[in-house]
Amino acid sequence: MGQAISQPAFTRVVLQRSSRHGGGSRRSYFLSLLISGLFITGLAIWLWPQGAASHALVLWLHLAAGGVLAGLLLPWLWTHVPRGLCTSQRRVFTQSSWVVLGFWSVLLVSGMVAALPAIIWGVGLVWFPPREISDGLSFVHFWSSWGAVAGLGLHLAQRHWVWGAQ
Amino acid sequence: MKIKEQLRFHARPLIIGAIAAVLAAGLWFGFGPRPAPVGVSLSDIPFYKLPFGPDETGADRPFYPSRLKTGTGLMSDPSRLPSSAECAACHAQEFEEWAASLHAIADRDLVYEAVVEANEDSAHHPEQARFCEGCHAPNEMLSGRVNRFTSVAPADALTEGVACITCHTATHADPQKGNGDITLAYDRAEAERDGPQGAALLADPRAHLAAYGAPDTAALMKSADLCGACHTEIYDASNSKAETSQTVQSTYREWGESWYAQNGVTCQDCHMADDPAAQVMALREGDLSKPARYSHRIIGANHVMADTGLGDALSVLRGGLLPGLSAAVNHATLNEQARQTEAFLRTAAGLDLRGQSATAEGLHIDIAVQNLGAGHNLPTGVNDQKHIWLEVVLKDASGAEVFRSGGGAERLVAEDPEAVVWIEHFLAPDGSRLTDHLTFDTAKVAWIRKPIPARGEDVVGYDITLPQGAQGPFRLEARLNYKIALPDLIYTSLRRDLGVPSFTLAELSVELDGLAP
Repeated sequence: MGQAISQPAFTRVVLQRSSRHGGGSRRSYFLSLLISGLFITGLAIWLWPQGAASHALVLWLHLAAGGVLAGLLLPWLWTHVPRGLCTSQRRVFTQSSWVVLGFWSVLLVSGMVAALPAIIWGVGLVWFPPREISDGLSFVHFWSSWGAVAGLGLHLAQRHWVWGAQ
Repeated sequence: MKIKEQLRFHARPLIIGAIAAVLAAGLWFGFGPRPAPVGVSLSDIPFYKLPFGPDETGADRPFYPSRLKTGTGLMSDPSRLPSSAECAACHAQEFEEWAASLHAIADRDLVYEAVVEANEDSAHHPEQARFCEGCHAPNEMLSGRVNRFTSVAPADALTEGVACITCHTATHADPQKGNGDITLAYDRAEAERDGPQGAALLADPRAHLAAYGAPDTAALMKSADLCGACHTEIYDASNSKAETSQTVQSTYREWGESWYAQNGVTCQDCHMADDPAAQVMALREGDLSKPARYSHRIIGANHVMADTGLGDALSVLRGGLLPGLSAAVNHATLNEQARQTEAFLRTAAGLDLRGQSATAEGLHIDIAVQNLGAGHNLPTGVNDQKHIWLEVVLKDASGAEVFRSGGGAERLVAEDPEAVVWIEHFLAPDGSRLTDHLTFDTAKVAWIRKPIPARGEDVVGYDITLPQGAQGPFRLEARLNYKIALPDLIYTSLRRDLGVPSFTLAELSVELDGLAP
């Protein structure tokens, strides 16, 4: 008989309000939709001709969806990480989950910093980092997205319980 | 093996989202607006004249006798070329610095424009002026506006001389051949302008960086080769009446043979240093550190075109305000340009008394004119106009002037035939001197006194006959003066008798000991 896990009041409320299906909630379902959409649009932005006018629409969609994802994912992780990782019974799951979380942190932070000049432009100011930083952010954002998506797949597929353990 | 519940649940939205995004992006990129093709075919520019015929391979030479080239072989649509004022939206500091430079007004400078017209008048084909405009007006050149019949619509970018896009799209330069031997990829500028701008550009600046900071361009912009392609000027039968090749401007080669080139000090290191005078003084001390920041002022030797003391005349000479520049910003940036130019000029030269001796008639003195800070000859550039001369005055014990060479007459806008002057003469086929920069009429170029190489010196000797009764001790006062243009040029070009202010590069004041008769 395992011990009951104490949950903060906030977490309990979120869990209760999430309409749970087997394996996930409506929110996590929506997050998965966003994640795959963002990955594909990000890939398109990276690969397609950057000077094309059509590039701008995809870029704006990617930025908007990225903003929504960040807004939804961060509070979701706030509850999911303490709840999920604390119940993990497998060391390999725990460790890989931290790595996945690392990829996601890098992905979100690099995306938000990269979008910062555009946001600042929106309020009438001009600021942008030096080219080396800008190039570095693009590079990190792109490659961390592969780690984040692959890691998410692994995270979803990997069992966090030990066979035969109670 | 049982698939984990979470994977089963999330696989569906992940796959649906991916398919939807692939379909949407594919449809958009496949059927959405296409990028407009860049470049304009030469045949699409109405009435564009090619009076000099094709090259030896049969290809058109749209910019001949300039050696300017385009990366694609196509001309540019002027309406799609971004002006420097547009760049200023994000690069305000760089724009304001550049706006005060000579590069910005290379095609607006009133004297330049008048001289080009005078040269056109002397040429059989006015298209010969493409030789000048290749370096002075690349935007106009690449748009096909430098033509007998102007059939290309004006645009802000075409009023700028050496603009942002000029250097920031250069892909190749040949400083040995000179005469504007630069390849410009304006197609990059045209294509980038159709892409995301403003906030979207800032969110994903890769296209912008690829257009204006491509690896080939970035390397070239750090290299003296880019500068050398225009700051090497050779007259031959294509652009003048010279029967043999006449090197008129050899600044790049002078630099290439200097201590500066041997130590990796480029043109940009001095002329684009944030504080050019301080940079040169550090180099004079042997400090080879690179500038912490590079400025777009491109400080040079023309102190007149930044002299706000000229008042409204300066605006007229500079061809009015550049697009996107307010009068207040223009005034402020020109003041700073003038300050930096004067400080820079003062680092270039020195005077030193090398010898003094009594002679039967009076005195002999030797004055060393030193090139202390210029990384090329002193003077350099096109020196039928730009010249330096020594003003030497000897005063006796009573303060009376007992000898003078140079100075007085020069300051009164006439040339002093007795002065020691470093200048080159443009000579017409009949051997007569051309004082108004008529390139197309020049057959030969001759230095009156050879310029002083970098870190070199020229010792000038004076045999001074003292007047009866002159008593020592004598005081020697010497000045090395510099003038940007001959008064004849201004008179011929502008029909105005305007004095060209001179600038004192170095001074020497010394008492001659032991020579009192």
